[in-house]
Amino acid sequence: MGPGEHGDALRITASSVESLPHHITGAITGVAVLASAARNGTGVGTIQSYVGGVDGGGVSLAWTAPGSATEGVPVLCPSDGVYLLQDGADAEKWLRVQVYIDSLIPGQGGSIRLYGQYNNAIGSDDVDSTEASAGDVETWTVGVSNASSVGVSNVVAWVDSDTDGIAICLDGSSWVSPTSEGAGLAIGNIAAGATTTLHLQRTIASSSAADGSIETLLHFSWEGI
Amino acid sequence: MAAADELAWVVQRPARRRRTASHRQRARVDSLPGLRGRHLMDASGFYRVFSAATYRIYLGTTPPVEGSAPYDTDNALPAYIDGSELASDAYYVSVSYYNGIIDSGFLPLGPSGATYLRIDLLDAEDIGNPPLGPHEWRLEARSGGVVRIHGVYLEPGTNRAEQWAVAYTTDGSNPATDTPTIYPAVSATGMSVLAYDLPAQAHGTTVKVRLQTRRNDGTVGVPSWRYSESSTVLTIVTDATGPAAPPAGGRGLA
Repeated sequence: MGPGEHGDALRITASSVESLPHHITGAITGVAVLASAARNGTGVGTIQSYVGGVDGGGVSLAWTAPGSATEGVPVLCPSDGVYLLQDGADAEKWLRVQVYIDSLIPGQGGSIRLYGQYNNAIGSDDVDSTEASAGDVETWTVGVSNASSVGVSNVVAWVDSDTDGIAICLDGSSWVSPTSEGAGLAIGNIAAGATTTLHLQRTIASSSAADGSIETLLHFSWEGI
Repeated sequence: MAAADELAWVVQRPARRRRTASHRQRARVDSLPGLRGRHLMDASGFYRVFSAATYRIYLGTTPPVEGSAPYDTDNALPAYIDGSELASDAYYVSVSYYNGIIDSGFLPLGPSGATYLRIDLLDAEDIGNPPLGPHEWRLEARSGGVVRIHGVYLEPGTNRAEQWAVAYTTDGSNPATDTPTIYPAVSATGMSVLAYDLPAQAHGTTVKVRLQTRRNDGTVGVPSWRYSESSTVLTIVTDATGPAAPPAGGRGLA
């Protein structure tokens, strides 16, 4: 499995730079973790290396997402490059890694710790005491980019039911807060390499209490390879 | 051209129209049933909501511990606590700054970087603080069964001590607080270095020492000693057979 395929086809960008959902620590020798799917959630997953193909060449890597009991199918990594590792129970829980084959040793296991990312393109900035007291409405945009080699279709976005005060739209004015895929915002098709702008609006009620960890969580679905 | 359009074009194109290699590749990959599927992605990010910062005031009869429940909160300093609400005792006050999420930790309010101030109340009146204890001290086993007490004291101002207060035992028990048997003078400069030899003991005697300082808040004729906070008790076993340790860790010995 390669980068830009399956659940890695759509990426959130800000000023053309990918916005990552996790702060990531941990690795094994010869592997640098580039990105992880937000669907992994936070916590500790494991990455495991095995002897590679049937001819004994190369090394394979497998990913087990935090909380998952099923290791993903090992991905053969015959040379330096970027690979996509998928969890065995949910293929949309992936890890995108850079492999340095000369340093990659079979039989290694390591923990990958995924922390929630603060103040990225989805989380936006913190709310100061003045804004929390008076209330605040903030709008911004992110890019929904198709990183795959083919077009994706029927892209739908919706807001997680536990996320409060977030609305989305495509035109900057027709705000909606759907909490199911069926009622979701239809983004439509996105050609290979293209980006669609998604508008976000966050409403902070007046007299909001202090909170050190508020997550903004959006869901997307689409059809693609 | 969007993927669905491409697929429709591949299906509906006139048979005579020539396909390019690029189109053939796309048709193969993009139109094969089973290769295209429904996928899911989440997008996540976190933020914080801060509240107006307030001072957390901690007060108790022992030095406050970070993370414990504050006695009071105030938006600004100075903050006031009614002394009549408090019984006569020694109280320790610490302050931190808190914005609803992040706590500054205790600020270094007291002397020598202490994170608290001490207030001694008697009938709701502040009667002043006792002198500070030794800034640092240790015991040294000297030759001939002698134990030397090394101590450093530093406290400028009117609170400073007038005497060291040494209590020791040779029976293994802990010396009592505020009952010294030896009291060398403290320098009037507010800084004093103590190097005091206890009487020689038999070899192998366990000597326990408590070192405090004290100040006379009474008169010469009728003293009223205020002692520094109780120190820890240090223990050492005397050595009456070995030679004295070489000075400075043996430097200069060939």
